[in-house]
Amino acid sequence: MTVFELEQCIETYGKEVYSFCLHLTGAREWADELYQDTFLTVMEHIMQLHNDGGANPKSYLLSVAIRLWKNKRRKAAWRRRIAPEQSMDAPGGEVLTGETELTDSIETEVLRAEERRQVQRAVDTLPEKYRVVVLLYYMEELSVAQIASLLHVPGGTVKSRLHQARKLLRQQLEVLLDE
Amino acid sequence: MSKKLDKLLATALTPDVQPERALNEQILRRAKEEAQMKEEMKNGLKKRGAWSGKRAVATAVIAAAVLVVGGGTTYAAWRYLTPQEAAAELQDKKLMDAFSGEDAIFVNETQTYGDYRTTLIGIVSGKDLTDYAMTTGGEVRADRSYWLLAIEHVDGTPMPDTGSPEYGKETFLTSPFIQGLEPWKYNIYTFGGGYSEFVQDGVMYRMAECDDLELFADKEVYLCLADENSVGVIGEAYNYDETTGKITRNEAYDGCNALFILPLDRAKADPKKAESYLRSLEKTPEEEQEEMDKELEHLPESQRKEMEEGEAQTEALGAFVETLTVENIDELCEKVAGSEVVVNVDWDSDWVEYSTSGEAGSSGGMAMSDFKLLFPDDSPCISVQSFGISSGGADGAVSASISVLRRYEDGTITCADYVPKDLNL
Repeated sequence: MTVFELEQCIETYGKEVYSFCLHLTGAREWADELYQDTFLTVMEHIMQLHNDGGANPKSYLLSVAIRLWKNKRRKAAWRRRIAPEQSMDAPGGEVLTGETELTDSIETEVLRAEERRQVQRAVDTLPEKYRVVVLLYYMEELSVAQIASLLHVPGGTVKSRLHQARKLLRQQLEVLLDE
Repeated sequence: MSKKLDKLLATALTPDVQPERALNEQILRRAKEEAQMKEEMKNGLKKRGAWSGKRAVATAVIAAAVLVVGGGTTYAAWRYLTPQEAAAELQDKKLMDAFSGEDAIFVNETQTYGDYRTTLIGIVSGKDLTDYAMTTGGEVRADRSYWLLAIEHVDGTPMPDTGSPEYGKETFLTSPFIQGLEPWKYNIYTFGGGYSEFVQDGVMYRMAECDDLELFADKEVYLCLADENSVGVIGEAYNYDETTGKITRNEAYDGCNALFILPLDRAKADPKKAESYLRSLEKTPEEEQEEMDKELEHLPESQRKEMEEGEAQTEALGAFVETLTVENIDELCEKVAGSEVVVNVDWDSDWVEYSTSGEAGSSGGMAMSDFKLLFPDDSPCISVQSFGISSGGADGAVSASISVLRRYEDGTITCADYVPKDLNL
């Protein structure tokens, strides 16, 4: 892969990959590192992407990110002990994720932002194996088959994890869902 | 309810967080460097005609690092910690953020001289970039530059860990130099420098800092790494061209004298501020005294008390010394056994060099004195050369010592140390 191709790849998938990294790692600094390593790894192994013959580049990028994260997790856990984890909430309580739609009243807008924040927090607290599936399904809009292929697990396992994740989220978001 | 949950999740998890522009730029920069390095490796390997494939590339990185002994080169240093990681290791969150921002410059240049391979990994400059701000006279030095160096042994032996007894035996000086300013006069000492360091995987990481270097970005700004921690090494290891103001390595220097030119953004230069900053470095004695007083004000109470006590004791000893005469010195003081040495004076010479290096207890050293002035006639006389106070021992006892030149009745002149008998300090 040339640097030019890499640039195009970042341009096309940067936002999706970065959002995924942010929710996967739970902190900006780790997301930055994972995001960077993902693209540099892809640059190194890009022949694999070409050889995949029509494989979804986004799926490939996400699979690299997941694989790298698995390798980094232990190191990250250690590092968090010496450098307190940075919250995804920016100073002042502004949520880093999400551009708000300014179509409704300010009050509705604030409520929606709060709703999003609650959902994001609930997802962030899911066990990792459920969180990954939820992020791939809802954030990256991959199909169950694509997720199964990316994670190298049977489709039934993906469905089961999604089911389990929804169950946990329903419990956490009960108030929101009852409204 | 299930559809509502699906909708909530889909809305809340829209991938809408953009990575920082600097992060994308950093990836592309690293990708370019890696591509260039691979190309260089490939060319090098072709010449050798020995290795091929991916495994050879990994080996070649190490080989290349060894091959550059005695010269400078630029290639990516993937195996080192990033400045962000080093800042995390130093538990400096603000600095970690600074190195993740747009102002950070990633240099990744390696130079190998003497026994050491030095890599300048990156530098960042700006205001309030650290959790551990340096203060002078109680005032925070806010505008600073921070740079990260990786230092390794060329022979591959690991640098001693900071907990090892070997740590500290090999010392280094990293300092900025500015084109047009004499490096022995303007360096990390004058620029309020400091550093933190740690060792990981046999590599020493030094995060150094000093006042903002970007002020000088319209000139060549250098960073050095020499294998001796003293200002004296600067004159030995580096050359200063008085015509061009440029600083270069002294090729004849037998040791490590790496010198990096910083790729600073010239647009960030501030000649007026730089001039005012340089003026501030050249303080009058009154200004220096004022600054010292200010620093004293901010010392911890215990330290300040200690210093004030020391001053009072010195003052008391000074007053005591004033009362000493050849007649009362033996009554008021006790000569330190073995400290007295005879001074041979050449009376034809105005200034005489004499030695006071006596035996046990003597303060020792060389001095010059105008003996004709000290001893204008043949009568017995004393002249106090110096006096001082020292404290030590388990009980922290204070002791005073007075160095005296004495002319005896027979014309012999000696130098000896005396201790006051009953002076309560």
